Amino acid sequence: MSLEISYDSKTKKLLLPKDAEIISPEVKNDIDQLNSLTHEIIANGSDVPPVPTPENFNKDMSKMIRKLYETGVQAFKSGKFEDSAKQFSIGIEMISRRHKFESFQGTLQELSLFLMSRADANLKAKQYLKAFNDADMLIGMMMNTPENFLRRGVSNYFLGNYEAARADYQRGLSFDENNERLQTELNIVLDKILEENGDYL
Amino acid sequence: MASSSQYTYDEEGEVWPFFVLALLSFILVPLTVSWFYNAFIAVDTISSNSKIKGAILETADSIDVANANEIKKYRSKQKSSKIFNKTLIVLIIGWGIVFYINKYLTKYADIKTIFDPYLILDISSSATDREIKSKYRKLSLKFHPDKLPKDITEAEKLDMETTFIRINSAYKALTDEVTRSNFLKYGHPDGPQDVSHGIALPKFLVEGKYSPLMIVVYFLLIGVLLPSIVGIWWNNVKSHTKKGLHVDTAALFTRRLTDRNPAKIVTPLSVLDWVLDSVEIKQAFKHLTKDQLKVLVEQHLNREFTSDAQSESDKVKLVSMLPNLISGFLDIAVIFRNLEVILPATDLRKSILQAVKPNGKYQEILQLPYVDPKVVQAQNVKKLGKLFTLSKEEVSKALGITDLKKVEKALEIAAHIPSLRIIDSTFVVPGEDVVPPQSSAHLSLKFLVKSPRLKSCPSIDDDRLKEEETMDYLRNPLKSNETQPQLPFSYAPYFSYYVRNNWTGYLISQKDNKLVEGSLGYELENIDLSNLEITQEEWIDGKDVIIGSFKIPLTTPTPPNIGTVPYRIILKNNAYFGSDVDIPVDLEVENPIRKQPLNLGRKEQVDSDDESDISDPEEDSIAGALAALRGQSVKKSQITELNDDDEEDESDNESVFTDIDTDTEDEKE
Repeated sequence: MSLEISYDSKTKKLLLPKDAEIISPEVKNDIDQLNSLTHEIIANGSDVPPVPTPENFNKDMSKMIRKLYETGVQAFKSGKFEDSAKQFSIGIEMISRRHKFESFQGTLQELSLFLMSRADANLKAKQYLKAFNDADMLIGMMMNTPENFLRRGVSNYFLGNYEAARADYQRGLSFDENNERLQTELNIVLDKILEENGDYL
Repeated sequence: MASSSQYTYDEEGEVWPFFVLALLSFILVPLTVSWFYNAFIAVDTISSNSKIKGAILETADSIDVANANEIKKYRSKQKSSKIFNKTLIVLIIGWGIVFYINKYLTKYADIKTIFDPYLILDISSSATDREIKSKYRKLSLKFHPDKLPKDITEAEKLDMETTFIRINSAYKALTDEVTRSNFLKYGHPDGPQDVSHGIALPKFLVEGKYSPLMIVVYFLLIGVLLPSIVGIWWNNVKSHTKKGLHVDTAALFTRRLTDRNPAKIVTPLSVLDWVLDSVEIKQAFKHLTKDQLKVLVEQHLNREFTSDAQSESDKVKLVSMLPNLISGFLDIAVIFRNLEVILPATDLRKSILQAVKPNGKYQEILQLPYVDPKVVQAQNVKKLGKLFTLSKEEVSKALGITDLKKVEKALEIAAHIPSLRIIDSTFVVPGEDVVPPQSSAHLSLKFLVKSPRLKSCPSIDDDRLKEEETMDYLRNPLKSNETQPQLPFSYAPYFSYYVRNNWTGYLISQKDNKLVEGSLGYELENIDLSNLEITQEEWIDGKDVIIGSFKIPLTTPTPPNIGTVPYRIILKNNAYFGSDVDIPVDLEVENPIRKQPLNLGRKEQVDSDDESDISDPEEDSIAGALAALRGQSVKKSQITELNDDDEEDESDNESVFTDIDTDTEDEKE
């Protein structure tokens, strides 16, 4: 397997043959990432991007994102869960458009907030697979709060993965053993597992 | 008498055959033993299962697997390759040479030249003077030249005369002072003899014109043969890892694990993808592309069979290679401590053994024989336990089997698929009542083997769970893992060889959801399965229920601070679906009570804020663990900021969540 990589001096990007996606998605992915990073550096205007600090975090963008969040919450409160999830998706899209060399700390914060809310909206809208993906992403980002395990656990429960739901609740409880909601949900799923096995206590 | 040393050559060919025999026997005897063992004793056989209580005895033949013949062919091929191999040729040639040398080339050594007065007089070396004298008298009466019978031949006469002389000198050696001292000093009654060094080669080879030839032989032996043998051995060592995995395969697996995209979920099928890239598979199936290989595996997982003999035999061969490769993959994955990779890999191995698709929720049912996958996947029963709550007709409907006899057989197999009901799981430090800080603990699991047929769980007295702290236990607390009876071979009729059933235990830290640092997969191979045979009444009664135990060492010392560390233990069965265990276990570190007088001051301090003591240190340890995960400062600021920022949102979220929860409850009801 070999791929021809060329450089386009006008766009200042590395180019791959058109069928690269099929031959090696990994290489394509790597090159795409490299291109977007170089693009950001060039757009930045200086040789070295500024040190990312909370101070030079793009506040204008933060305001817009904040607004999107509020409309999402509004939609949620009025019961339009699909709309609310859509709003949050737009917000997430916007967050991922942020300058790549900005303080990732801030980005992560915004992202986790949006993901949490979108997971809730998806749960309400009974989009359990989507909710699972959001909660899974949150846990993957090391947002190990009991609530995130509750989110993933509930998604797993409704997807029929009772054992996975149980493991989620139990892991959530290891971070806060007195979390009542996790405990009740855990009992529900344990009963469900017994029932599925045709067993009883 | 001048003593001189000289070389004697083996002109007569008396010595070298013995030399060669000695060398050959060094090689041949161990080789023969190992060949015999491999060929006849180590052959895995399901018949050993019949001696194990609770084992499943069904095989590919007894449940009519469609490719049973193909599997049998593969097995007999494996077996014959164990008997008729290169070792056998070496053995035949080797023993042939031994036989030939023994028969035609060895000559009896003349032991008469060796002088041993005790042997000649036929007395024990501890004999007294008196015994020596009486024996000598008897013998000399018999062999004295004057007393010989008249009717013997000249040769016999001569022989007897020499014997008489030997008897005389032997007697002298034992009685006469001078001869005796000669014998003791030089080993011969006549004083020192010529010392000679034997060379097991004829003279012409060493000193004649052929000596250069000998040098060439020596050169070949030391300069060529030895290095090449060492070279071949080293090459083998270099090309395969200790576990028998090709190094390039190991490198490939390591690369795949390192380059893994964390955003992508690893499924059993992606593990299959990696395993099919291995060098072993590529070398064995040069005539097939990867896609064709995938199709073969897929056919196996779907229990589909074609009429093409070549592809069927390829399939059996391919499938038989996979579990070992997956195990090799797991050995590497365990080092990466990544649970998201380990679990799908173990599931894939199970799927291969049972010929069941790794995805979906019906594997427990699909692993049974005769089932119709389409029917099974269209109904609601997903677990083995549920089957035993249904009537025969309902089971027949659920499994898609019409023949009632077959239904019964399937149920009988289902009833013998063991699951482990954990009744006690604690961390233990031998010789201590609690787990003190900085001690070496192990996780002790007590469980009951449970058949899906059995319901509920008996209550077991705590006394029965306690372990007696014998010296043996204190020396090696993990010893009980080996003392229980060995598990039988797994029921896996679609698979080409017999695999012993086992569980692999993974100890996971709940904080980061990874394997505990430095821990491996711990194999549970010895369990008494007798519980599978008992009735529901005996089970609930609990008196005759056998309690199994499994201990897993904690690789690192317990934390220095008092508090609770949450772990999770997963036991994965290698062959059966529905047999896995996954439970949380807490490690509670406490100060030992016995040491109270020693650190009285500290203890008091702890006591004084006893009420807050329960939660406080715990928070500490969580914070500590989190800080250790990512640089401390980063984590701290992150947590605090997050909390500050989200204060109002959090409450928002919570109200949102209460909403959802009531909703879920509704649906459940």
